[in-house]
Amino acid sequence: MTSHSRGRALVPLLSLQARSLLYGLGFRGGRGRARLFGAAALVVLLAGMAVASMWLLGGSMVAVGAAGAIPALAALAGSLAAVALVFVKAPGTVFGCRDYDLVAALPVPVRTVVLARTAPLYGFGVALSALLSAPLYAAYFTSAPASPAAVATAAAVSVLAPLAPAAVATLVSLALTSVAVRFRHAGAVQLTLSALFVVAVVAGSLALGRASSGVDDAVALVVMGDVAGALSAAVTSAYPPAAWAAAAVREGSLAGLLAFAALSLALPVVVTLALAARYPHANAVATSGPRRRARPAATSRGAVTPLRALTVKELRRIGSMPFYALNSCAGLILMVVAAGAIALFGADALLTSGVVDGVQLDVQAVAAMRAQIDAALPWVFGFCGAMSLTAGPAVSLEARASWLMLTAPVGAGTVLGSKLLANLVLGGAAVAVSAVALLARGTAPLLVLQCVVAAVGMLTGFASVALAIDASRPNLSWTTPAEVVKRGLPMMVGALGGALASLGLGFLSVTAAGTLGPAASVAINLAAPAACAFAGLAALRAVARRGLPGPGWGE
Amino acid sequence: MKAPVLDVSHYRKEYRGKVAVRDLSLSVAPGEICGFIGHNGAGKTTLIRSVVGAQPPTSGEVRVCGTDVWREPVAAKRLMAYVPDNPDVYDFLTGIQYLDLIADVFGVGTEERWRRAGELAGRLELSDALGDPVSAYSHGMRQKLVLTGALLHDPALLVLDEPFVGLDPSASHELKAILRERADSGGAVFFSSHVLEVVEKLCDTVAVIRRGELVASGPTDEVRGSASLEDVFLELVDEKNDFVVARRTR
Repeated sequence: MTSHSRGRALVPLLSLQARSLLYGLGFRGGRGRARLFGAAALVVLLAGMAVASMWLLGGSMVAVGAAGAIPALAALAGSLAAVALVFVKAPGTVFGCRDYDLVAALPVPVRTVVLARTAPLYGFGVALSALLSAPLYAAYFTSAPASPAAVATAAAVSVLAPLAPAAVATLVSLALTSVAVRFRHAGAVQLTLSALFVVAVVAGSLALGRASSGVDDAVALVVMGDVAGALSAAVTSAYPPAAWAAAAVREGSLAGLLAFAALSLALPVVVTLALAARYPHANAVATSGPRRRARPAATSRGAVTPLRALTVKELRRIGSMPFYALNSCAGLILMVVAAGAIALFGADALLTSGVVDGVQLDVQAVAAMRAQIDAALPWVFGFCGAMSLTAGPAVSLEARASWLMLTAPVGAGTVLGSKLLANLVLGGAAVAVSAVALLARGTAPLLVLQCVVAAVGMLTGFASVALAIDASRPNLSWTTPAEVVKRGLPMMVGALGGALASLGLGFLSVTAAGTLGPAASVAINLAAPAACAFAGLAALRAVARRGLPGPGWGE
Repeated sequence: MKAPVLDVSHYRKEYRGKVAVRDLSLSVAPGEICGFIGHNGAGKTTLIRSVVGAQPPTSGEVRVCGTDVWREPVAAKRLMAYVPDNPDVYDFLTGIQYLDLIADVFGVGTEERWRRAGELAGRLELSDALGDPVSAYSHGMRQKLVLTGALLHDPALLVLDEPFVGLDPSASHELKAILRERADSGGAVFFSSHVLEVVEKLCDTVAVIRRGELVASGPTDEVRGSASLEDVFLELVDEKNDFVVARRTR
């Protein structure tokens, strides 16, 4: 096959990847334009926030005299973005693909197939790197001479920075995936292995940096007053090639630029060729199922009620999908952490320490605002409860197995009730642990009761609302769980509504405590979450009465 | 004449104004295996999904043992079982956990589920895999698992959509035997298939659908006459042969 025909094969394969991305965003056959525009608007918003953050970071570094460390930091930021992207997207895109057999059977060289799969990742990596590096360099050139050569080098480094880390991350991701898929809960194992790998790399590079210099560079240089040098040393110990990039931008080092370019271009080529040479094997190890072991004869357990059986099934689903569990239970984790922090340090100490974002209070101010603080505390738990909506996407997550739900001889109330109950079981456990922690610290029982009511009430109310929306208009044809867990309307309405309601009711309670007295705030803290729960349950009940499949189930 | 187990009366289904199935009526008596055949997109799965309560009809009635599927869905669903064309089940469960879930939902007691699951899984050669997660199952194994689950509560009506796709020859043979046993013991079986040889040999009655309309139905011998079912089917679905359709529709 000639290089011309190879190139012709690459275009449709890349087009396939682009179509897959659009499909994943909900753009199907001309429909879903609004969703696509919404996604585009969200991307622009997030990009704007990232640019603003990087600009502020760069500006701060210039302000404290650490501008010299910016080039190394920019290279590191671009690299880390690419690594994160590859870790998330390589499984299923580069290897372990569901369409592997189809693509492998095409009369196209394997290298072209691998290139079509890796090129989008590198492309997105480069875009991310440019997005994060550009504002940093813009800040850098406010204090350093912006000669055309320096600007061109900075641009080249921004483009090159993610390539080598993305290539290495592809191989590491393949290795971790091939280990993880051998376990029954492959998703959880993959997440754990990835986290361990990142910790090991950071710890290893810091240890290497210290060992190579014999002293703690950062400490030594800070002592010498060279903040930029200290930061550069810290960054380059985490990612040594960043030093070459920094030297190229800062000092115009041609050798540094060439070394960085050579590494950045050579590694992706080597990895692509290596993957192409072993592509069938790489896919096989990344898709092999759990290792089959000699098991004792499978035995059935005793009979339980349909509601309990379906609730257990929902809990098993949450346990088997770390992505779903982490996204849907983030509030519960935050709740337990908050309660644990209060139990360990006390609410007053936390408020005066400055660790709570935006709170700058001294001991006297905390004492003076006791009634307001007690009025607001339950809404911290209410907020966490409303952020924990495992039930939100639960109908959509049935997806192609929804026929089981639809043909089961139980009412829609039982099906939906089991999904809400699973959410409440998890929420109840977190609330119970939090309540015990608060009581152990000596928090007043009435205040703990308000915290419990706020958390359970907001969780019940907004989980019910989200579930009712999902049951009315489920998305059963998603291609990745993120479509319904992170980007689905029920989750957005539930979580955003819950956050706004918690903030609004919290504000009302604090105002009432200041103007009408603590009794008024206690009444609000007990009545409002209960009302919220009842309203949510009423909405869910109305949907359940219509039955499944109800209006809005796309036909 | 015995009351039908499945009775579909003037069934009509539209999707956004487009008619998928129009005015279709058929019935399946106790002890009967009814084959439902038609070309791709004829409306077989549309009707089957309405029979099992997964998709409401635009108009018409579907009754199972006299119970209206869309007025008393829970009671009707207890009387039947469904095996879809694509046996997608929960990947995060093991085979035995799936069977337990189905048994609990259908209210099958502990002893009964052990006995039936053991017997059916043994016949379908699935016993050794019941402890494995469903995610590790092949298409055929999932099909066997769903079939085992469908028979746990001894349904009066068994509805299957393309049940022979993905099964190995021995499992296919065993499935035919199971379907015949169910009919012989008084149950009713209603299944769609493109494998006309199986329909011809296994089914007591057959219903042929073309573009959403029933073009022939009745005892298999009567529908096929002296020709093979394949010949009759090809003749019926050929749109040029409308006069043949008119002659065979009862």
